[in-house]
Amino acid sequence: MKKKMIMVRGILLFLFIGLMLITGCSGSTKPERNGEKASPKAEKINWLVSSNAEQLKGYQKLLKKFSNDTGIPSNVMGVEYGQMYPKLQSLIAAKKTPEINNWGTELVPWAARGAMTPLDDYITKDNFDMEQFHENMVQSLQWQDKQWEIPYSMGTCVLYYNKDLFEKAGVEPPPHDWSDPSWDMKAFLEMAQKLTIDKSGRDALDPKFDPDHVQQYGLGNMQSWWFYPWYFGGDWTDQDVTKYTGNDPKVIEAMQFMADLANKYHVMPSTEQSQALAAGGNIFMTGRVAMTVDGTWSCSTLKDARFKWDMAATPHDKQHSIVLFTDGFGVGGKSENPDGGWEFIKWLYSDKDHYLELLNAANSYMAIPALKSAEEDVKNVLIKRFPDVDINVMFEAAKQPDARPVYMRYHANWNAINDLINQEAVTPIMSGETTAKKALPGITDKVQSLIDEASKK
Amino acid sequence: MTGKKDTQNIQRFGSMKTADKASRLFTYLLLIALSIVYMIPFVWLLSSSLKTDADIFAMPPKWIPKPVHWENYKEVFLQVPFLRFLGNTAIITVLVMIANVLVSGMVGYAFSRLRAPGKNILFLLLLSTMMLPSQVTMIPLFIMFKNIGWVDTLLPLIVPSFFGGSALYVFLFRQFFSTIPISLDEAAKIDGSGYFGTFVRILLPISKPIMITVAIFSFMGSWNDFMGPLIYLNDMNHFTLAIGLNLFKTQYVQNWNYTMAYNVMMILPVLILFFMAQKSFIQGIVITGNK
Amino acid sequence: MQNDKLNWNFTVQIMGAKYRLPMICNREGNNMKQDTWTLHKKSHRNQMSRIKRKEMMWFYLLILPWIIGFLIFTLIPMITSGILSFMDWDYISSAKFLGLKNYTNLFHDKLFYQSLKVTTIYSIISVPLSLIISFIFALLLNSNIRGLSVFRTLFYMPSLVSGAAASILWMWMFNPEFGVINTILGYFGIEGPGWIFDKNWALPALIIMSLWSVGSSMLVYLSGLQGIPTELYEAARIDGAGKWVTLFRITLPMMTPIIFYNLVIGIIGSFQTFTQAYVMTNGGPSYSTYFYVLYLYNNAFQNFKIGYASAQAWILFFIIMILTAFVFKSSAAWVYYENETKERN
Repeated sequence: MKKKMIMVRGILLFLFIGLMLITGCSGSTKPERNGEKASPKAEKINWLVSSNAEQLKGYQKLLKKFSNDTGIPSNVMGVEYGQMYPKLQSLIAAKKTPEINNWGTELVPWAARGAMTPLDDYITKDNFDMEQFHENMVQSLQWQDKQWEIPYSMGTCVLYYNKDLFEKAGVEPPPHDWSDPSWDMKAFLEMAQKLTIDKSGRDALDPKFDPDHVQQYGLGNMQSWWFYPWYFGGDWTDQDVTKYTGNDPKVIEAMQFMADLANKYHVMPSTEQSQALAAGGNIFMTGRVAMTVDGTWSCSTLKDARFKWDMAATPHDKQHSIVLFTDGFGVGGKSENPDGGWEFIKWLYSDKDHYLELLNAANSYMAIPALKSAEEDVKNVLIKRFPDVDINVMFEAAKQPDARPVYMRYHANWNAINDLINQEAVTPIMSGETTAKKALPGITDKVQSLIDEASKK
Repeated sequence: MTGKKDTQNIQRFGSMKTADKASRLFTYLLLIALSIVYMIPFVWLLSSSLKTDADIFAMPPKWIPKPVHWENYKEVFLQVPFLRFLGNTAIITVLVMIANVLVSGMVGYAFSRLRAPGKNILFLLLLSTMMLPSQVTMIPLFIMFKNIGWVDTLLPLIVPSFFGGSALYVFLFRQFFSTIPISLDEAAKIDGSGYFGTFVRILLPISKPIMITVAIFSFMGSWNDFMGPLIYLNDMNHFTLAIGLNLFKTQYVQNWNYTMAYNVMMILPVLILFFMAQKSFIQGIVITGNK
Repeated sequence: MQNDKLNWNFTVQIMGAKYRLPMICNREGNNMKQDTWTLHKKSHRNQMSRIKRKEMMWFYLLILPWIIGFLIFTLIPMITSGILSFMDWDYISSAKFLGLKNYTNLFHDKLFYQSLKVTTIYSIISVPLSLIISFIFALLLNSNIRGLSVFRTLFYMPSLVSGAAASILWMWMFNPEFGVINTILGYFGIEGPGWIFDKNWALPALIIMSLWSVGSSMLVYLSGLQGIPTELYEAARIDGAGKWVTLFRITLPMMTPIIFYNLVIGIIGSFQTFTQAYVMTNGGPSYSTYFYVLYLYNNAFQNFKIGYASAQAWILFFIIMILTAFVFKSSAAWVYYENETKERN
């Protein structure tokens, strides 16, 4: 009996110690701060960024310069893109939120939960010039009337086409002009059909065309389903993400058209085949597709292509489908030195050279710079790197009035909504298992409840 | 009756000889065929590590890279501090391995041989710890380590194994010890050895195959552990090999050839060690065979 | 071995004849199967309880490192996660108490059942297959053939590759367009399926992949095989027992503790499958490879729902516990331990 009591006491003691360790004297991790916050505290700021080894080196150099200039010690942590979420969340859970992050248009789930610090006060206090940036980029990083990030670049999707294949088929290449009125979905489909060739050399318009033995596809894929409905004037939700509008006839028409591209018109490989072909990197690189819609960021992969290629405008019917993916810098919420984080952002834009060095380190030139004054510099670099490519297509895209970010993403439950629509509607529709008419209205309640869930909080 | 039995025996004996040879040959052929099947992924791995990215997704796939890009390996060293990763991983792995073999052996011995009240409950507890998915204890553990300041050090990856880190190995040792006649213990006890002494002098040497097995498993576990280092290590200089594997990709592009080359280099040390450990493995057989 | 310690009183039945095997017994000449404490049956009562206490003390002393580790590194986090399972926490704001809501939501969650289904099917097929294959390999490698260590290394090599690296490798192997598997099938004129991109073939692909890394369980079997006393084989051979009989009457029974180990480990491991699904298919296509732990991971790290994920983890825990208990219970019927009676385990 006595031994049992000792054992029990011992276990309780351990439990107590352990619980202390976990809930941990959080008081002790935050040193008392007396005095006003006149200058940014000289406490180390942390930057969590998704990068590969090369990029990381560039970022470290950049931060070193920052620390030398401002006296604020800094540290960058590199993590692979796919591991960003668990890494960041462990840091947040342990109250070690990094001061600097780069969510871009994916920021809302984090901002909604308090993981980010709004920047409006800093902007007004330091008279930070927001006019130096493109307005649509600034706007795309706002949510609920607050500015959450300062933009640094923007990417979009364009239509890549294989010049060699077009020449071989004797077809006129797609237009580079976004406002060309003849470039509608019908013309697009026809072009793709002319460039889809089966084993015996027949194209998809030929009545004897053999869809089971396609040698070359007119179209690789249409990129993300997020913006399929835009071609036909619809969208998945309203702009403020309060209502699911995927059951709108325009969206149904759009999704069915996209699915038909592969299953009915055979100008695009099936989802299965498409994913398999793209698994290595880029379906366009295989040289087996004449056109594909893809992000401007793919240019770096395409550099090694063994054929001539260029970028053109995507087709449009009632409106364009031009997506704007903005990248920016934000400050972590409840981090230890948010002021220091803001100092970094200020420093970054205080001199065009700092900004250019960032772009260099990130190796992400094929994007539109947020800083208007840097546009010429970037264009020059791009022209040198891609002498045969019409990079103006990219710049013109962002200037179209109906270019927009993916509004759906501006919701706290974005990740779950994305998963749901993708797995339960988009995938079966695209694979031909079901029709858009059946699937899209069917998920209305589920999506709506996810949307409403966060609003209740 | 006896006569018949004799001839039966002789007949059996004779046919066994040729049956023996035939079965040997069959075994060989089977092994070789299976080896080929099992080695195909490795051949592909090696071949991809020597290609350019474009070649990797050429259709139809080329088995032999032309030309051979040996510089991929050099590139890996240039892009990441491979040797430092190797060093970090080695420290963790070796320490954990020693801890696992000794501590698990000791605990497994206790569970197998010694009797005490509450032993069964404790054993069930032990087993149950293997069943909780690691994803969930991950965050509370991380918070705990952060509060004692061990984050961004190698300590959280090493210390727990000195405290009976893995129930898996305890279980294995316990099962193994259960197959050994207790009379061995008895003999030792009669010769005046205590419990610990029996463990160290009698059972541990006999369990060499298991020790080596546990050592190998522990080695593999630490070498390839990914989630742990990902969560606990921030500074790239503290990284282990497993995390380094992912440093050849960005959100949009993955350098498959460098990834594969890195992979090959990650496997090589383990392969060599394993091959060497095999010899002791065989020695262990010799000892236990003559029980 | 001194003769007075030998006592031929343990029997094994082979081919209808009984064979006695050398078995070291206690001084009293009693059968091994008895309680070791009756060894000192004739000792004084005080001595017995003193020895009993000594044994108990040593037991707890020897397992002390594990107890400490268990309390600090396992129990505390487990309790925390248990508490979390009744809460709603997104890491950033404070946690909200939900009572049993997480659990009731789980039972109404279609994905919960889908992920459970995927995981169960995978386990039911891959675990027995792996057990059998690794056992066969171990048997093949337990003979005296040349190049043994080479073969052993070759078959163990797949386990040397980390989970993520292996997943990447096999992602390529299974690629229907560029992959090795379909290429080789093509040599035989077979048009390979879409594998990980086809919702009917994705799970089979993962099962096939699991058979590649049987090296670990093979090693465990090998260790066990080495542990079987050669006298048993000798005795059998002398009486002319053929290979198959030896296999089923000696090898298999003696190996049952090891088989048991591999079975338990196999069940526990297969129910926690994560890396392959995460890297190769991300649960698709159409949730056909949406493993339970993948769903858990997504809830914990993509959907900001660690409370919900903790509830999931505890349910998984109970499921695995029940299955393991079931296997343990059944072990009385088929596992043979050499030194202790069943109740002792």
